[in-house]
Amino acid sequence: MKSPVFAYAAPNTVAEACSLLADDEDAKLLAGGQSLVPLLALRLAAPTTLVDLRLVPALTGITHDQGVLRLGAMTTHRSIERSPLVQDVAPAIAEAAALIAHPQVRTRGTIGGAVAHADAAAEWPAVLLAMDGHVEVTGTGGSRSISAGDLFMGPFMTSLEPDEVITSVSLPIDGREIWVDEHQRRHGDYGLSILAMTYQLSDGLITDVRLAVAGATGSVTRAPEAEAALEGRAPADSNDAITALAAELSYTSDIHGSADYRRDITTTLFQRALRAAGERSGQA
Amino acid sequence: MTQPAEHVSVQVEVNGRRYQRSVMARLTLSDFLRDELGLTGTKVGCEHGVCGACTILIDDEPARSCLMLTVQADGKKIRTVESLASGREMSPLQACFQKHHALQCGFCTAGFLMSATALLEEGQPTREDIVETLSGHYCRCTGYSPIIDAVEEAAAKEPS
Amino acid sequence: MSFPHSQSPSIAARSIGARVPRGDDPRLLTGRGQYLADIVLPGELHACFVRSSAAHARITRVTTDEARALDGVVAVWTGEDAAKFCEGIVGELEVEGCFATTMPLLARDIVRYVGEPVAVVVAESRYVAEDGCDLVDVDYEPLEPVLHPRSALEGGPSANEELPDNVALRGGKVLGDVEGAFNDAARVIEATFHSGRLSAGPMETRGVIASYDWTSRRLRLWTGSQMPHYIKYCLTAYLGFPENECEVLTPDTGGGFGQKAHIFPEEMLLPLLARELDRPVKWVEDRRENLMTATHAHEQFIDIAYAFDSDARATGVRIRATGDGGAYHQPPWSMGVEPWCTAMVTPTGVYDIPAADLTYEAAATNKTPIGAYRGVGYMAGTLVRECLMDDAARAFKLSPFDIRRRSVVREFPWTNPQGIVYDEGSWLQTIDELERMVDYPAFLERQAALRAEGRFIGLGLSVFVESSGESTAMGKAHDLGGIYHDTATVKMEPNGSVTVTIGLTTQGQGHRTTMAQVVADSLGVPLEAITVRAAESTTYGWGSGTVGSRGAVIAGGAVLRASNVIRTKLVALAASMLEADPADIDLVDGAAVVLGVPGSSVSIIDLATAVYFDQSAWPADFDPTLEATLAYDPARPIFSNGGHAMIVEVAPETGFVTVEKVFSVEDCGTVINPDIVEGQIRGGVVQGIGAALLERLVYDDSGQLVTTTLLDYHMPSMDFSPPFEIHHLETPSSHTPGGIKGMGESGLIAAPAAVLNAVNDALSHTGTVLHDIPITPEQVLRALRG
Ligand code: FES
Ligand code: FES
Repeated sequence: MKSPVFAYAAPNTVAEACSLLADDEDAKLLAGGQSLVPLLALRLAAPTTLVDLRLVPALTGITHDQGVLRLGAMTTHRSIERSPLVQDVAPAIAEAAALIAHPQVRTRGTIGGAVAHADAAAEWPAVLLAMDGHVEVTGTGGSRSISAGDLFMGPFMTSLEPDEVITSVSLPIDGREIWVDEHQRRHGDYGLSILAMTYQLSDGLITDVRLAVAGATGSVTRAPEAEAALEGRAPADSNDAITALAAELSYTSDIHGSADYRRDITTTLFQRALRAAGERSGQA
Repeated sequence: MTQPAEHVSVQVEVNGRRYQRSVMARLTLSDFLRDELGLTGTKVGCEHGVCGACTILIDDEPARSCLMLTVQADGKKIRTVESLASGREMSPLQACFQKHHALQCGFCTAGFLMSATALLEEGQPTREDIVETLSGHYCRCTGYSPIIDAVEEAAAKEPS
Repeated sequence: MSFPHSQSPSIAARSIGARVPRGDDPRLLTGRGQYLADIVLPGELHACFVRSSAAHARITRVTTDEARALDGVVAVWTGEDAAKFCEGIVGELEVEGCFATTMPLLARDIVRYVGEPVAVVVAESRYVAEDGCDLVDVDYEPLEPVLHPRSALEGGPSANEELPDNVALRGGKVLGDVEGAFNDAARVIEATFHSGRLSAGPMETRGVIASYDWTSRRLRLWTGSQMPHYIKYCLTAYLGFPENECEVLTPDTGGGFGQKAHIFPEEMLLPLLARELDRPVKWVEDRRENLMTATHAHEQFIDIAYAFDSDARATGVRIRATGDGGAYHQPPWSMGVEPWCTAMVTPTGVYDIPAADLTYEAAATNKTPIGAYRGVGYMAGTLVRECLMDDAARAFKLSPFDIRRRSVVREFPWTNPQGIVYDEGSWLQTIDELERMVDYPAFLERQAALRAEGRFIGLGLSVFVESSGESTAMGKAHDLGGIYHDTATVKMEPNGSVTVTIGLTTQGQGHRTTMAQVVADSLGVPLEAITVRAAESTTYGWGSGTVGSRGAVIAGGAVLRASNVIRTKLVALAASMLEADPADIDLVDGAAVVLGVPGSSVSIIDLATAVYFDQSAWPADFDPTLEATLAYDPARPIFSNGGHAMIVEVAPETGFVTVEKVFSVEDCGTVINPDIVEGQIRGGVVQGIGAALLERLVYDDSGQLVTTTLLDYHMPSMDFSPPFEIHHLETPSSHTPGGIKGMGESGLIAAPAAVLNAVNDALSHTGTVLHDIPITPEQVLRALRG
């Protein structure tokens, strides 16, 4: 279990990184390496060039400005989990970070790496989708912002161009409620089902809801029918939404659980989220 | 290091000693520590980031050395199990492992010790903190509860 | 027949019974352990295997040119190259109805399971060896894979043409009036069980280093084997290395659990490579190889039925145990021992069941060979027996304790229908003690109260008797062949310190400490003065392997016999120096003392010094050899017993099962070191929890192994580890050193049944009863949802 040969470069700027990517179509970016290095060891990935972002300044750091929480792409899960700023403005995000794998992995794994990897059973893509987050990316042709909805194309697939680098992740902090929850068989396992939900609560009613599911489905996905069924309803009045969520997604089967099972436990995650919404509206 | 190359030069500080080496870019940090520096106390149990045996401290934070390329540790401070005893005295944590029979074959032990060391350095962990942190390590021999007991006792002893 | 090496001298327990900390620990805790991968020989090469990607296929071509041409690659061997030296290793079980197979070192013509070695690449580094493997091209012509053991036994294609009807093992016995028992039964409780395919999963994978010196024809082989002397024997038998020039060395070993108690093709290939290439060759298995190709374990399909009379006493049993054996027998244990033991040994357990109809069979399939893993045959056998006991308890509306008390054997010696004699045991007390520990009435109250809140807890019980101290007598008692004995050498130095060498290797069980405790009590020397070497090299002693819960008993017996020779000399010398009767001399606290004469003593150090340097102190005819090597093999089979009770909670949202608490009762006779015994229990029980709730090697319909990483093969982590309450009963054996019995497998033997029973109890309101392990969250959720 040793990586195949590759050439390695650690550029000092994003622009250099982009041109290195442009130079070799089989090049791959290295962020924290917590997903890529095992793939190399298993020889399931065999890039010819590895472009390491660790020397590029300004890719880490967390800021909160004008209702946007901006996380540098190379920010580790651990620093998000422990950031006083995140814990203050969006504690659910800090808690979501703590759901990822184990501390020994969170110290190295980065949000940008996880988003770009687009694992169907990862937490960040679901969080981004539910929050309507964006990624800022730079390529040889310039920079752009991609919304989460436009970014995730399928399991391990994104709309990033081969020469593009994610430089940061932006999450709107706009007073909407955030809820992230997961069923893991053991501490730190990949989620059998991950559910992220954001919504407004006004007068005990849920509005403007965005619901994303990962882990249970072939790729991270929104649940538009469940969202629509929930719109304007009280948390307790959510049977239609629950039925819709069970029906509209295509759940996956593997050795860790059948599609039926994943549907069932996704439903229980949704019910937990709705119970929490009920409690929040009770407190409001 | 802006030109792609199959070999890279790295400088690391390991257990207080500085090393400068030229290594294959694909060399994992665990292989570097074991094969290049002869620090075989760090064990490799899976090479894909699950078992925790290879855990070391990088700039005081626990990390899987099998999930890192050596070059990613360039410029960093590393601590391995070989650093824990001071002089001829085991650390309180190591002593608690012996007292509670928290190791049998010993293959997983270095990883547990390093994660637990970081945990103790951060403050007073609760039993839940211990379980949460050390669940990222497999031990096939002990059934774990003696390890929890050992870390708990070491935490109680830790001057804080 | 009785032999002197079955006689064990008596010993006074002083250090025995104490929680002595392990002397190995500081070394291991500071990173100074030396495991196989830590050993580096000058000039060593690294081997890596090209492994079959097909479950069953004809090899039409193997192309190695590109690999050979790669810079750093030294050699590439295929099946033809290996076959020049060795046709393969032959495996079978020495019982009626077993058919042998020959496992090639590298596959030729046909591959029979995914992961079977097809070629080996030897290179200057493991990295380059893997690069080389990628360049070896193998063309396969697919053959139909045989994947289901029971249908395989009914006919169809063969998994391995050596066994055309796929029957690797078939046999059985009818004992007593089984027909009568079932015809007269008030109730018959029956079920079909499947116990899943497991990996022993030691944290250190397998590995081998071979080094050969042509000038002396000397071969040295490092391997973390549980059976180094057997490996050494195979080096001669299969490869023709002169046995006197072979040395098998066993470094620190990161767990074995039975997986490392086999001979593997890799262990036979590396010596050949080292000899032919004239350089040391090393192979360190990676985790994917370990999951894929190190022996699998425990998988069986079992039909079992018990007849109960109207008093809820078990009166008869019928069992058919079918092993899913994989493509070859893995010597020495074979694919047969698992179902054979389940069928022939375990169905009666601790119960007085007079009639038994026992059938065992093993099918060859296109999967990784089945081998030993802690509790071979016993785990599955205990699972089905104890689970049906709980099913019966529900049927008769008795408590799980009461149903067992109806049938438990109360008088010893006891001979079961299979003819096995149990000299002693605390079988009834185990049940009583567990009932007390769990406080059954309080549990029932709590269970009812929680149920009312929509929470579901359950209690599961499992009691066992375990054959321990694997010996010649044990084999005979079970109609199995096999001669076992181990030697130990005890040597006292002039300063009174003692070096002990045993024939057993250790994989973490603390033998160096427990054996030192035995010697300390025999010779009266302090523990610090004793060094124990545990078969670090086959140059010393003889050992039949660290298997079958035999370590403490067998090594203990050999150590005690050898140290008794030294003791006798010290006593004779002391008697002469103190002018006392040898019968009045005891060795204690570093001195020889005259019993009843305070102040009359001489230190052991002075005695040892006198043996080496002061002839004037010697009595007449004194022989100054302070070194003795003796063998031990107990005269009779030894059985330990015990049980576990577990409380679990099942989560209605997910079907996840959490083990809340484990209560264990263990009776392994005299306990040498409670810390070590309890460590064995906890470790084994958590492995059992893994087997019951998490672990499963899965093949897909084409025979591909799906679970090739630890991301897919889930072992218990710390959050799966329950708190334990452990109670020791001590029913000493009348014929082992100090009365000790083996217990290394008990945790895994009985834990899965306790988990399954506890889950079924938690689900009892649903009417669902589960009979397969691992229990999936999905099954539990289904049951809860009705
Ligand atoms: S060896 Fe690194 S986690 Fe297993
Ligand atoms: S002590 Fe053996 S794996 Fe932990």
